[in-house]
Amino acid sequence: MIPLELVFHQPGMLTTIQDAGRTGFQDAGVPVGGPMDANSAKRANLLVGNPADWPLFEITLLGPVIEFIGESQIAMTGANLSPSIDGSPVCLNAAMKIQAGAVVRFGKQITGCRTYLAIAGSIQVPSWLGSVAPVNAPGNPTKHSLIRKGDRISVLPAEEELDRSVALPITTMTENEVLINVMPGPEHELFSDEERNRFLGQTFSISSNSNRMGYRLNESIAASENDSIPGIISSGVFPGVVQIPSSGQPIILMKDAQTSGGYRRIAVISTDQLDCLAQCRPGDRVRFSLA
Amino acid sequence: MNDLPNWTMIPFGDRTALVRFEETIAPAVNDQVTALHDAIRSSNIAAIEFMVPAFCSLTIGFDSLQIDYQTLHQQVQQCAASALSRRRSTLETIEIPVCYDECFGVDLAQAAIDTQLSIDEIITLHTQPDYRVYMLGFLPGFAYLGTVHENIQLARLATPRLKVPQGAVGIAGGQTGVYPVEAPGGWRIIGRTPTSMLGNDRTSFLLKPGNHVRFRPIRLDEFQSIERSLQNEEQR
Repeated sequence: MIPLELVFHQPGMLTTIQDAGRTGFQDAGVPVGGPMDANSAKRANLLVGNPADWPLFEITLLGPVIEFIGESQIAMTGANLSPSIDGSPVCLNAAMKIQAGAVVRFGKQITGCRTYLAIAGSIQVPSWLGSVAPVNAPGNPTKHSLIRKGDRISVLPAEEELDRSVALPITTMTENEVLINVMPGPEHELFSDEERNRFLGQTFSISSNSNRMGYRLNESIAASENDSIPGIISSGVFPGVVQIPSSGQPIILMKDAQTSGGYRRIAVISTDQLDCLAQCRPGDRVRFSLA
Repeated sequence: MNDLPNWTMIPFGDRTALVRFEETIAPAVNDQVTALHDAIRSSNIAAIEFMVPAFCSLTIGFDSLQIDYQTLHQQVQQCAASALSRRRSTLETIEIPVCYDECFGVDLAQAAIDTQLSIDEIITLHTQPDYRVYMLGFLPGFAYLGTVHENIQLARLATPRLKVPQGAVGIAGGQTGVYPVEAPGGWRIIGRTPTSMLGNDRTSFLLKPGNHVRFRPIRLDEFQSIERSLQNEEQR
């Protein structure tokens, strides 16, 4: 089996290698990590015949330029960032062959925020605590999972080529506004009726100060600018928890969120809804409704 | 006494539960969290995916396809009934060498002004106690240690630093801790340790809830020699 090499002539805005993430180490402060849109990631892997939780690339908004030194089979799912192979536009949600020397590029963002690129085979980067997902840990053991310009990533190609479609639902790209069902969080009763009504009644916009750790919303649920929402003694949190910091502007925790926090937890979003939220960009709008 | 008093459990999302004890930062309550965490771990409930022990709460993540909330609640009740609410002072005390030299203790000068104490007095107050590890969070391997002497409970910076160096030792109110890795942070930095917060195998951590920690002041030359010998070990 000839190893395949991918050369990243441009890294894109944020291209990382993700797999299922790490669970079971939250008691040591280790965040879960893993793909923001887990559903699309699974789908991309299954399309190329990989196990669903194998490493793949998560590409954010502005895509990389990737030269394939060696032939391969790939699939892309999630956001439509106008992918092309040697200049010809290609489809999402299908496995396709790549000739040796071909260059994958991206262009205009049409829908969504994150594209998943799976390669038939096993991406060779070091793992830590069972996962390749990048994390800020001593010794930087996962530095190769954060793509920089010029990086060369090795892949052990799969033995056979598969031609398949996958009957998994496609993550819905929205009309720039999502309605998210939530369950009450542990501190929801500490909020006033007005604050809870503002949380459930308002249309929020996603701030540009949003990332894999959390999505910050611009609008506050506090009655006035002078109101400061009190905190709590630090307690556990996980992706999907909606915190209210002192400013009253909600924070939706995502896959790289810290494992504990001192902000009140007003609501929790279910895991499958996070996939949909992962395709929202700054400026998109969010409304919450009680499940 | 076998039974853990004063706890409640509620659903926390569709696949997580939250156990809460008395809402306070106190050794006796934190012991209860540790006791329940240990009891649940020993019971090997397969459906539990993760737990976050905190100051006075325990978050439990579970596979909702394997177990439902009600069944989990019953199993947690059984664990609580058998948990030993004993003090964890039997766990080892770990000594962490810290250099408080001004090149590392960048917030010390300001702290002296704010507290009206000399830098030496601040160092004495910081190195005197046997701190308890209350919980880990914020960063992999970041242990929240308490409780800092009331005369040096420095408030967090109004604007966090973009980069706090690995090994920095800081204070935020009644808590003190070591940054295990370079990261943004708002704690007041009073020194630095050459000791890694990772265990020797690099897949476990030096500190766990229930450990006790003492800080031992060292001079700059000792800091450098410890740092050199750790680097040599790494290269082997």
